Amino acid sequence: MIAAGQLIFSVAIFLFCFGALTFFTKRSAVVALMGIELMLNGVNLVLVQAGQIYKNAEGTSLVLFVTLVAAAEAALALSIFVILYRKYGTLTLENFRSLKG
Amino acid sequence: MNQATDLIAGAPTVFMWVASFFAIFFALIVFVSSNPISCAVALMGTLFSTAALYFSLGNFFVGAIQILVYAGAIAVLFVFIVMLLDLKPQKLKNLPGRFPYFIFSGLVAGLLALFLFRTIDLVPKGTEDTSASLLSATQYAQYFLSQYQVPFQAAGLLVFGAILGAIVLARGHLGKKERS
Amino acid sequence: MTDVLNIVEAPLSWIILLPAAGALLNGLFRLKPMLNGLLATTLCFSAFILSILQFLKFPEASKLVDPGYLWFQAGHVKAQMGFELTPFMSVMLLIITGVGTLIHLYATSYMSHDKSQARFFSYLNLFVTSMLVLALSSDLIGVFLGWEGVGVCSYLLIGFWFEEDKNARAGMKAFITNRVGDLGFLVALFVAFAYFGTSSVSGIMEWIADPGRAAALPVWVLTVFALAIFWAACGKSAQIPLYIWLPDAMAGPTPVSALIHAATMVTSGILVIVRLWPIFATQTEVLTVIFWVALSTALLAALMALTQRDLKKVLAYSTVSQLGFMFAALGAGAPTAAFFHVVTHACFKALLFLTAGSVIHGMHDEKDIFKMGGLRKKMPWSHLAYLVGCVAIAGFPFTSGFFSKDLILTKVFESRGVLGYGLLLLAAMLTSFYMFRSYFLTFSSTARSHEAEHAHESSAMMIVPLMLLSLLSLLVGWLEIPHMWGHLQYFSHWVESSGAKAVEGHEVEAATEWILMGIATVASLASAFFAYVKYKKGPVTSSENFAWKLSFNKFYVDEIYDSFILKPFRKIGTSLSVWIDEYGVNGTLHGSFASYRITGQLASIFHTGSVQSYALLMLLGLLIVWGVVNVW
Repeated sequence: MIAAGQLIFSVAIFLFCFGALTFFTKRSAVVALMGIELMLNGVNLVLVQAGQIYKNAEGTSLVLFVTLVAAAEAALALSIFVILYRKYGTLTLENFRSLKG
Repeated sequence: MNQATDLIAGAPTVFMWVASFFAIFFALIVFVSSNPISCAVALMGTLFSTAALYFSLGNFFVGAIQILVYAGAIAVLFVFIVMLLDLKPQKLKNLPGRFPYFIFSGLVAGLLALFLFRTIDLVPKGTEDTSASLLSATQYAQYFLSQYQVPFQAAGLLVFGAILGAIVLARGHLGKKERS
Repeated sequence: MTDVLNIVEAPLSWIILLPAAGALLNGLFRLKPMLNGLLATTLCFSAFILSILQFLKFPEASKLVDPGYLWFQAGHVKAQMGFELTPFMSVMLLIITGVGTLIHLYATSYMSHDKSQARFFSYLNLFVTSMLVLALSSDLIGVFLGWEGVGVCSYLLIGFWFEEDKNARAGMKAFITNRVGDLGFLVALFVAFAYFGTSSVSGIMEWIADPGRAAALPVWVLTVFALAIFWAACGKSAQIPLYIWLPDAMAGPTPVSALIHAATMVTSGILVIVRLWPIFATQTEVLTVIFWVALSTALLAALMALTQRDLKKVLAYSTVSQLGFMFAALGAGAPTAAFFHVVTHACFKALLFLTAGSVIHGMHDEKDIFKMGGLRKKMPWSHLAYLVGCVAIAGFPFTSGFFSKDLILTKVFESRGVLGYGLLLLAAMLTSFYMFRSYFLTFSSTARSHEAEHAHESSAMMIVPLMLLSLLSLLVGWLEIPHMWGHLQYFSHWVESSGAKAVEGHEVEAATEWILMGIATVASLASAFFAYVKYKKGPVTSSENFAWKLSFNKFYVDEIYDSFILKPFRKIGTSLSVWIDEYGVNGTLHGSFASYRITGQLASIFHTGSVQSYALLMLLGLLIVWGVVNVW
């Protein structure tokens, strides 16, 4: 039987990998952003668990900051998406290829 | 409290199992669904499950923050945006080279999972130290104002910048035409 | 005569420095016409005075040395730029500087209307310097330096009027053919360093003299050394197969032909061999090779000279032929005879060339003897000089040529028997014939062209050297008379006291010698008479048959060389250049460009413009690094 720590760590891995896959494969920008949020969540889980293992407050502190940054980033990113949508009428990532070449 | 070490080293409780299952389940929904609103709601579900996992680990503070900020603000924001822009379900047109790309990214993610799983054994099991590691919010606050003061203030600045950015973005192209 | 060497120190380097200064000064300063020439002549003359002073030291001293300075030393390879004079070389020095001075004087007037006199006299002095270095050096490396120097000056002077393509090419031909010969000199140098441990001439002679060491050498070393030196001599002294440059060298001004291609440079091969004679004396097979090559050269060149129309070309082939005589003497084991002929030939050949120059000058640069004629009345002094020269070269009794040629013929008879003697006698007869042919066609009968009718005699500055050389051509021979006539054998004395003793042969008795002398005299007189009969009325063109064609076209030797040797080289050269230039250099350049381009094209495959794929690749990269770090 596995220990709790191992289970939680596995969950974190799954979250991270699914988040990555979502980011790589989705065509809509908003959904890709959701993938990023998933990844961050996986990381948070690991951090909290680490805090429990090492018995200090660092894990929790880091989690707090990650959450904070994720919030700010999500807010701004979504604002930008709104503007993009207004300008181009679509959020499909295939259309945004100006970095090509 | 001996509970602390047990929580990591001991067998998972049923609560943990259920929470874990739901976390992964909802994450899968996010990945698979083609409807953006389903994705957003499933994301919210994942966030709640993760919060449950935090609670099961005994870190109530972070769990609360998770529900308040992540599930309560960010996920809501996502839902809001999806509804605002009225994003429709994406029809999967088979673009050339789409399928190999899927396979490739699946492989890479799988490789990543492989690497990560190999490190599970490296996770320490914790010690026999039974001293309290679960702190209350008051104690965390004290930490933030003493040891982690600088990151705390930096985070504040960051949020401030974000607010400014949001305002600029919101007003941006309207600035010249109207004043509101 | 005791064997004690009395080696005396002497300031020999001054003899070389004077013409060197002349070369430098003439090169730097362009003076009024004729002043450059006079400067050059004066410096050459002072070198001559110094040479006389050294010569006078001789019976007391056995060898004069000037230690010079160490040029370079690498391991046990040492090049000491020192100078030494043996009796025979000091006589040669007199010839080089003396005849050189006369030629410089002549050239001052001959070139007085040329537009680059300063350059000419600079080169001429440079030539004299190099020749002196060649003659005086005590080390073979110094000799080689002079050897190369005269080659370079020869190139510069032959191609002096280089604006005309033909002259430049003649210069190149001379230099390149010389270079092929120089390979022999280098091989000899290598052998000297490898087996004798030194390249200094006296060092080598000492080394050889030790019987133990000489016996310990592998049997081929000395033979290779001697053959290599002979090959180098073939290049410089125009023997088969490397004589082809000498006739073409007539493209240069006439004083150049006189100095370089008659008197000095072409004899340097013989000089080196005489200096190294102790080695050659022991190598009988090499001497045989030398003899037969020389004999063939003498005959072949004489046959080619029979039909030439260019006055200078006749003299050029004559030079090749006479050089063959000198080498034949060496091949017969008689260095005295060879050197004796070197000196007499220098006198009368320089005389002939200078006179030819005077004639050509008077004929307004017309060289074709078929267009001359009747110049006896118009150019009396030149006529007299040429007659003396012809008489000397043909070996009429009591001229210098008579004594030297006779000595050679006798020695050849002694060592190579009737066959060698007969063939060489034939060459002598042909010499007499073609020289008198040229004489009669040039000076007798009546003028056959406009230039000939209006020919004028040359200036005093040109006539005086001619007269002096005529005197020498008549008198020098008396310095080495046959034993049966008396005891004036200066040349033998000089050569033998310099270490070159003749190879022991069976001496002929006096009676045989009288007979040989008689045969030779009658033969040359008869040939001259025959030429008189045939050509006194002018050119004879009726007998232009196949033999004539062969002779006139120089036996097609140049053409054969061109198609068998030069063409393949040119082909190899062009194809290599195409290969290396187009495929190698261009290919490398284009290849490197292509590699950059292809790399860029490959890389841009990944630039899809999609942020998601970028993120994917970043993750992949991270995983690779992680994997590599862990595996290692």
